[in-house]
Parts: sequence; C-alpha cells; structure tokens
Amino acid sequence: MTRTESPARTVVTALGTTALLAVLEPDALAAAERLMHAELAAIDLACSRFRPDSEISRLPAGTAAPVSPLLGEAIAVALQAAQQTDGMVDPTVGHAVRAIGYDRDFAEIDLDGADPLPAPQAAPGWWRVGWDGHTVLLPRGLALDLGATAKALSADRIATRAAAATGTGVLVSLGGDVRVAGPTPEDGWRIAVGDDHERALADPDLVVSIAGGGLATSSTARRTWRRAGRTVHHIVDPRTGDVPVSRWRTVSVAAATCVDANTASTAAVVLGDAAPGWLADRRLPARLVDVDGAVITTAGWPERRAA
Amino acid sequence: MSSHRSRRAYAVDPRAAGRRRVVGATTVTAVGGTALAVFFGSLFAQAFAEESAAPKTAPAAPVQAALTVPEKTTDAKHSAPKPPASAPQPAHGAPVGSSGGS
Repeated sequence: MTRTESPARTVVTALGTTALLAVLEPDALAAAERLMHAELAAIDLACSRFRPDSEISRLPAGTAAPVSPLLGEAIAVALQAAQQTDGMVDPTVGHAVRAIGYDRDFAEIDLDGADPLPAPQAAPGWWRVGWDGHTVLLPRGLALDLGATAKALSADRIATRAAAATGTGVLVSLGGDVRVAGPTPEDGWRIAVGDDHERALADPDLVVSIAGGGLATSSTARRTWRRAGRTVHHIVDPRTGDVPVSRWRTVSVAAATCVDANTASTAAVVLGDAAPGWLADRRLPARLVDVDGAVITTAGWPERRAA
Repeated sequence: MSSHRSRRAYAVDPRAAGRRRVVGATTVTAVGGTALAVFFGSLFAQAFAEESAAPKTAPAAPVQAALTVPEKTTDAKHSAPKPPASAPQPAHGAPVGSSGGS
C-alpha cells in the first residue's frame, strides 16, 4: 500500500543524539510520538552504560542474573551481531571503549585531552557471555557495551510498534540509524545520506528512497576526540581493543532491519579492505566512502547523485 | 706408686670425654643454627623490603569462561545480516529522514 501525503515529522533529542519520527498520517503523530518517548526511556534505562542506575550497569559479575525482557533482547541482538560478523561487532568491548576515553555521554567528553591512551587490550570475546534467554552471566573482568546495536534495535522497535499501533507508515531515525515500517509513500521514504546525519538533511551527498527495512551509516568522521595528539573515534576493533585505522570514512548499508544494517556498516569499518567483498557476498546494498572521498557501492546501491 | 698415681692423674675418663664431645657438638649446632637464622632472616627482610618498595600494578581482572557458551557454529537463519527486499533507489526531492554518522 502506498500513500501520497506529506509525512508529518517531529525531532527530539534522545540517547545523546537526535531522534526523528515521521508518519504518513498526521493524526497518528501524537500516538507514535508517545510510543517513541516510552521506548527511548526504556532502552536508556535498560542499556545505558553511562547511567549508574541502568540495568546493564547494575549487572553483577561472576554470577548469573535474570534480566528484563528488553535488556535480554538487546543482549541477544548484540550476541547475534557478533556471531554474524565473526566478532567484528562484539559487545564485550566495554573496557576497551572506556579505555579510549568514551566513558561518559559524548557531550561530556574532553575533546582534546593531554593524557595518552593506555595500551589497548583485545575484547575478551562475545562467546564468554553466558546467555540462556532469561539470565546473563558476565565473567569477572568483562564489561558489555551495547552501543553498536541498541540504538538500531530501538529504531526497529519504535517503527514496527508505531506502525502496528497506528496503522500508518512510520520512519524512525535515531542518530542516522533508520527504520521504516507500515505503508510506504508513493516514491518510497526519501533518505539523505552523508558523513553527518544532521548535516545530510540540508546538504546530502545523496538521496535514496527505501520501501522497507533499515538503513544505517557508520562513520569515523563523527564522534571523534583527541588524546595526546591522537584522534580517536567511537568504533573499536574487538581484535585489538583499539580504534581501527580504517580505509573507510563512512559506510552506509541497507538491510532487512536497522539492526542488520547497522551491524553490517559497523563491521565494514572494522573490516577495512575486505568490506566490499563481505557486503557483496551477503547481497547487502552499501555505499563505502574512503578517507579520500572515493566511493564504492555494492549489491545495487544507486550511484547517481541527488539532483 | 708414684708412677701409678701419675698415670691415674692424667688418665682420660671415657665418660667425661663423651660428655665433652656432646657439649661441643651441641654448641657448634647452636651457633650454626643461629648464624643460619640470621642469614636467612636478613634475606627475607631484604626481599620484603624490595617488594614493599616496588611499584604495585593491579593484577588483571580474571576473565573466566561462561557457564553456557553460545554455539559458534551458525545456522542459515542467523548466519548473516539479511538484505532488504529491494535495494535503495535514487530519489529526488526533499528527504524525510537522514542517515549518517551521529
């Protein structure tokens, strides 16, 4: 089913970034927005490692603990992403992410610190996390970071639930992690793509349309800071515990869900030269921009620049 | 007679000689034991002093294996991120949303 009305939109600040909600039926915006706020509050309380009162921050070490259905889903999704990427996207990078200085909300990080970073240590490995669907067992010395998947999961949950609840088409973009669900605009959902999700709306590198699923972008050009003269960013290579010196500045991927898209785009940054082949093998349409601005596309991603 | 007395005066009593050997050996053992105790005591004291003066590094937190280990072999359902039903298409006009670094 397609619709021709102009979507109604709202933009709020959440999860340390911007949350954009668009619906095809303007009358459905209020209900969808209420659902989005409730979901964002719940995911933050369950998964934020920056809140001492969050459920993930209070998980005990070395003993099995039951978790809420939402945190359980977030852990399961993170472990699945690790499994799908052979550990390129691994939730056990918690200590490594803290070690590079990402130990608080990004807005509170010292963007040019003088102290050098400690020697990096590889992530313990996702397979060490005990998970039976209801209880989690975190070995001592292992810290979870669900940052690579929790935001995308939230976009998936909000879009699908809002579409089901209101019966209209919904687009959710959480810091550039996009999911659409329900009826589609006549020409699809138009999405601007670029290094920066906020700047892309006004000055996109490219505009594409999608009829369903998710679209996510991982970039080393945003969320960067410096330590002792070295520029670091928020993506960590689990194999080294350090930020990867990637060939790619920005990778955008379309997939069946936002979690799948974000899993693939993050893995691509870590994989480096192997990323185009990895994405093509999985028939994932993607746009990879290298550090010099050269673009490579895979699996049917449109190359034409927006008019 | 006198020569007999003289021999008796300088004769060694076997029991007395045995007592002297025992006392001597005990003395040597006691002195040696004390010396050894002083020697090893100083070694331990030196080692302890060096350890105390050395900078402490926190031992790495142990990471134990999980009780339940997820299957590392993948099945078809979960083997890879799933592609979309259709690839993105070129589009014109104002975008509704955006995807980029955050």
